[in-house]
Amino acid sequence: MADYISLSYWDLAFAAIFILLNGAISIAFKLGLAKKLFIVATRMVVQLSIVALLLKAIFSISSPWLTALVALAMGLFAGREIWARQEKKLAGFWGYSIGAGTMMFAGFFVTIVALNTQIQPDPWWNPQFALPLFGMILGNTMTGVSLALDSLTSTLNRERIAIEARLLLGFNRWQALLPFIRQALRAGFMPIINAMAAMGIVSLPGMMTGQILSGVDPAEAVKYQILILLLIGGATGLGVIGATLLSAYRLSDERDRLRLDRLKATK
Amino acid sequence: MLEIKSLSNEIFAPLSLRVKRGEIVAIHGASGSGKSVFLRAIVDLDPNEGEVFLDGVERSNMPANIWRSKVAMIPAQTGWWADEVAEHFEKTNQLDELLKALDLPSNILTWLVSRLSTGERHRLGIARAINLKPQVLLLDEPTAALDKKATILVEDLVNMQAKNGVAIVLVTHDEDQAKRLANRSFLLKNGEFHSLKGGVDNG
Repeated sequence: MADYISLSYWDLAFAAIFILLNGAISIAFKLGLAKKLFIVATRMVVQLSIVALLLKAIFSISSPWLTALVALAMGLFAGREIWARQEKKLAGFWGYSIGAGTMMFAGFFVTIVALNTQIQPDPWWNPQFALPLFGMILGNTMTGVSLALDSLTSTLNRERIAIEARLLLGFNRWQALLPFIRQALRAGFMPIINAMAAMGIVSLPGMMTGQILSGVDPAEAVKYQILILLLIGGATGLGVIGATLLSAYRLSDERDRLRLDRLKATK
Repeated sequence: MLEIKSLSNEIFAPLSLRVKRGEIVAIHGASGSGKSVFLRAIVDLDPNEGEVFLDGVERSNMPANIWRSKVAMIPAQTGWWADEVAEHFEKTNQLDELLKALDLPSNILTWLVSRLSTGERHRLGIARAINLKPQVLLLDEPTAALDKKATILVEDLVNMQAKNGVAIVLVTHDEDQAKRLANRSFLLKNGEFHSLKGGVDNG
């Protein structure tokens, strides 16, 4: 098997030509994408370069507290993404904390269990293992939770008359909201279900191809990928269910009312 | 008897009202005077202050969904959550009779909701609530979307309910309808009830 092939900065600059080509097409046809594409590509390069420096430093310091702190910061940023991706969101403290809290709980729980039982690095919190694992789990849980919450809040808002009709016919709040909760759960589970279904047939996941490119035996890379997907599925499910039920709880009250007044007013 | 004591929320000042079994009380008022919001407060659909009793039992003594199965509100806009009409109905033995009383086709339960006209939706909404045998009926503009013939059928049904001992609060902008149906009627203006017919309420 071939060894790991290191990339030069010129290799990267050359790859950017394709993005520039896209930008040129956009300008030629007035598609309005060039500026945005340029900004996100630059952002991606800057963000990843900083990450490389940070990870190098964190690995060499190798402190449990620093590792925990970095994981927490990742969680807080992901929480902010969940918040920002919802068109309708809960007002105030709840708008951020339900999504971020359930995602972080699910992410930390699954990561810590996996580190202590399956992967077992020494020490178990070794940032070289803990942070990439947590990052992958967190990113996918974030996507699931934000899709579920976006579906829930926009559906409840849109279906107010139907939900109130159910309440008026003597349904309690959970009975009244159940079809819409189901819809939100489906939305949250969709990406991971699609990903698992397409895995290996339609798509070769980035982590696995990365390992193969760096010279790891495909059988080993696949084992890791399966583990990661199962962990992601588990964490996404926990996060999606937790966030959806807590938000439904917050958007209704003990007198079985629909409380859309607890959504943040949008302009 | 339905007894409302100092019911208020952000939109209207404390209002009190008593409605006996078999009585029909009509409420008029300009758009935005709070008629519908008042009905929503009685069924506890929005946060509110005050007490509401049914036969001496205050609503906070029971879960809100039980309260709403006794004190039913039929909103001006009917809600649908499934494709088929039947999925919105509980099977009871008076259901066929109710549909017939409102001149709805006997197979309408097998229809798709998307196929219903506005008038059909509205009459089905009325049948759906009465089908559960509430003790109090709060009707919000029950005939605003209906033609003359359907209006008469709904009025007959409301009268029949009152005869059977249901207490009825009717919000309507149609003064003639109020005259035809109501034992008492009020004008809701500036957050207060003004008696139009049947004497001042003693609530």
